[in-house]
Amino acid sequence: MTKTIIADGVLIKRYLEGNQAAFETLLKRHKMRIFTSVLNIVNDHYLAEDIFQEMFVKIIHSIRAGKYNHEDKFLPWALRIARNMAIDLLRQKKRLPTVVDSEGNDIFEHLNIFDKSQEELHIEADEISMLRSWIRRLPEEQREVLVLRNYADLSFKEIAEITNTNINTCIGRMHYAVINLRKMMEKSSVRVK
Amino acid sequence: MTRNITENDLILYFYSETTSEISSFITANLDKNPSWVVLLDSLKEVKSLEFTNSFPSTTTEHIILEESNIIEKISHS
Repeated sequence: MTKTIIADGVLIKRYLEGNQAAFETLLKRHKMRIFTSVLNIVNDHYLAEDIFQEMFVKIIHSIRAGKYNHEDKFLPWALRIARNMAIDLLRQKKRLPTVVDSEGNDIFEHLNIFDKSQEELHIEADEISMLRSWIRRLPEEQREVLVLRNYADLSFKEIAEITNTNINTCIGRMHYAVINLRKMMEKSSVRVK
Repeated sequence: MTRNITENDLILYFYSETTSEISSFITANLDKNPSWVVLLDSLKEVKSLEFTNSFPSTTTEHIILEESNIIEKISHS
């Protein structure tokens, strides 16, 4: 039996008609992609939680005020709001992002929580942290395009709208991101699987 | 069709966002343009980098759902 997926636009209409479960479905559907995108852009779990919460409160208010007119393009709209909030918050905090896990611990510490040998843990942590550090070291605008295209799976047109630029600028940033990541990969002994 | 293919064209081609005409042209001429293949391979390698899926805390989710419920109740009262 195939399960029918209800379109985002329909869920939002149902929510406006008083169906709370429709909103919950919308949240559950998109929370991973939105949260992971935000986290990879800001590189701070606590900040990502703040942004995610504030973003959805803003979304709720906008929907209730009749300001949602994006039909089934909920994800690009949401990511645009999240991205603008991320920029504002980062400017306010004026600090370099660090990578923390959900407990607030630096990922380079606390690696001995699994039943593996120390060597295996170091290799695994090295690979994970190496991948994260490569992405983290990219300039913000390159990292943003990389995350939104390769993870959130938005088109370059949608990314251009979200970032208030044009498509050629976005493609150019992706190109530089690829060049920079390749350079980092080549310098590293860790190979991409 | 003759065309000067740019790096932007190749990136759009990789992500299937270019026109069918340009896409066909690139596909038909890949073997004659090793520099195109180099860029496409780089794009493929970068795309294979895995982003670790992350989730917001249940507390954050509950706060959001509470907020959506409160506003729904107010507007229907």
